[in-house]
Amino acid sequence: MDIVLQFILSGLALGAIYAVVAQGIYVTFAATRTFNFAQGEVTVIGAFLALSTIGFLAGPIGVTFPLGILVGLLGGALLAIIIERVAVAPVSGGPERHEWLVSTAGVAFILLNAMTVIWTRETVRFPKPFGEQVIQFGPAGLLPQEVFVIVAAVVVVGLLLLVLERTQLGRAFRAVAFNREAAELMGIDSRWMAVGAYALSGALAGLAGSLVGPITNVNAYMGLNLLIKAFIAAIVGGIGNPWGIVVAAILLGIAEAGLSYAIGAWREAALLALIIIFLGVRPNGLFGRAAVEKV
Amino acid sequence: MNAPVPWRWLRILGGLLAAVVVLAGCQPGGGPSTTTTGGATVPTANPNVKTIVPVQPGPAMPGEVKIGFISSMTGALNDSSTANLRGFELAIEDWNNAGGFGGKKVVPVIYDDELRPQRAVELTQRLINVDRVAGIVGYNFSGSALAAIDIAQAAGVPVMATGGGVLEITNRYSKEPINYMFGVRMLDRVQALVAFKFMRDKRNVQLNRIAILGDTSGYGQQGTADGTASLNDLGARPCATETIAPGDTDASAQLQRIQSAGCEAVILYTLAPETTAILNSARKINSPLKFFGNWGWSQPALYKLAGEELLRGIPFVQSFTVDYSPEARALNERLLEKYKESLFPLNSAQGYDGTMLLLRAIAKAQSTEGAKIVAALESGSGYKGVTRVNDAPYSKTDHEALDQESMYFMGEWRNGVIVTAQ
Repeated sequence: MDIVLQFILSGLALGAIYAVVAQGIYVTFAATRTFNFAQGEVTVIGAFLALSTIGFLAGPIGVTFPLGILVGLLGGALLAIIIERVAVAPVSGGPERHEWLVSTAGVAFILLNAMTVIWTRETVRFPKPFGEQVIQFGPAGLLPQEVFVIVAAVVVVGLLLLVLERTQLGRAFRAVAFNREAAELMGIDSRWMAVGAYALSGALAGLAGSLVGPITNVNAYMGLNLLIKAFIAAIVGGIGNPWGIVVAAILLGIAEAGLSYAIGAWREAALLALIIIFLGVRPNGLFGRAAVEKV
Repeated sequence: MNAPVPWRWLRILGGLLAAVVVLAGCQPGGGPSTTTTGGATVPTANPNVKTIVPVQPGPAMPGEVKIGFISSMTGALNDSSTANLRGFELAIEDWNNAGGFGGKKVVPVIYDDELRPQRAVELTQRLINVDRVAGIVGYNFSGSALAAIDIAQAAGVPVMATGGGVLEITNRYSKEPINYMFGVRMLDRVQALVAFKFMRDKRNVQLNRIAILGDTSGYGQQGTADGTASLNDLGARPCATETIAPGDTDASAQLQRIQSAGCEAVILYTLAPETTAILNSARKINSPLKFFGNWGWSQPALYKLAGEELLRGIPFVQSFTVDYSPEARALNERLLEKYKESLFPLNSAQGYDGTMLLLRAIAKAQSTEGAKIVAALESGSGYKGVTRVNDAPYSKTDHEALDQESMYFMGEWRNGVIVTAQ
């Protein structure tokens, strides 16, 4: 029982991060029908920007950490806007266009290269703003930053979904996601919605990087794993269902931790095999619905 | 229709990148370590500096004596490779301060293979065919060494491997009439034996209750194989064998499996980020497991990532600490004086001794001819180094200077330096 509780808690912390990054994938796909394959690198750049800000300010961590998160978030948003303008907008524009697959993957490599030159190839220690005293939950424990990530992810995803569902902007966004042509006929500028979606997605990635830094430390190469896991969460949850993505991300984190205990070295292979089988059974994910096209 | 190229955005991107470059220098704990790329450098000798070990001037040689150095000053091994380079530089400096070869200074030629075996191959060819060195020191990255040594062996140029722990580097040509490969580095198999015996004798751990936890990279797999073989040599076998993927941040499950198997200690074959994750996970589940490891625990990168609190009391194999002997202390003082830091003293020590052994062999052979240098190396040196190399480190059949268990001991981190573990 102790073991189960521990891997549920550890899985929650992992899943919380996947949930934040996966929401970024959802918003870009919903608004533009594109995926940003550089999302993982934007996440890591967010972490590096936060780290550099903390170092630059050199003040009490209680002050510099929130500012670091802010810089990571804004930096991620700006970077994603640039990616959208330079690598997505010029090569997208309809369901038959797929050049963005190559261009965003290319951006991912450029950003990775840039990170290793601008920062470092090494893993860099990220300060621990909440100390390193383990917080016990009965027989299991979590590091303070893991608890913070879970709480922050709940708040961020909650706020995002609130904005999407309750605000004029959110309604416009959902209208574009539902039917781009109809939304444009209603006067919604889908081009700006695309820029906004990328900005939001980049902000979420930058935020996720800043949050995960104290747990993982920061390494330029850690973006790919985050991207893959976030993609899995987005697909398994149902790419058009933000709540489903949250549930899938948390289940993914818990499954990862549980499989580590159950089968050790075979974890990654087993996890991906299970997901392939699952998608064979439910191709639209946990909560997705099959698309119906009227002719 | 395609959208026009957004030059305005590109200008903004340029500005942002410039800002990021400025900000990047501000990360806590410092940015990238110093690297040396391409080209040759000649450290300036200082006649006022006392040499670390006693050095006799070498005999006059017909031409200039050049010694090559190749290691991975760029990439994941930059700390240990740079430390290795500093040991090499100090040895050359000491040799030149003592009079060089008949008053002529040794010329070091230094290259960075950037952790790329193919680059190491190109640079080895350059050292041999263009720079015409008498011998090559370094190859801290075993992957580079394994790719490049064929060229040196074929050309008859002695190689002194001063990093890595893979035995094949010196074993590959052991059946050839002349084996040009030598090593001053800690061998993985011997380290494992020393570590297991220490845990059994000093920490009262039963050998059959030792688990192995390695990462899934080549390093972790080789370490796991070495650890298992060494336990078998001692009549035991691991109570559990677990893995962690590079980049994983939680190992609670693996540790719980190890505990469930009735183990009481774990040897880790992981790099700094995963080692830190494992130690953090142990705290989370309040694990009673005792941890220990090989020389990799002496990486400064691990100390920077994990910090003193997590590492306190964990023993790991060493062949050198800065408090071990007068020569070791002298090396550390010189490192601090010249480079303002003692980056990875173990690797500096291996670099220093490897270079000194090579220079002394050239002096003894009175030649830069490879075969004569090998013969001189195999015939004993009378050298007392900064590591535990003995006065006859090599023979015709033994090309490893640090291959005796008695040369290793267990160290631990204390206040940022490595001291002997009790």
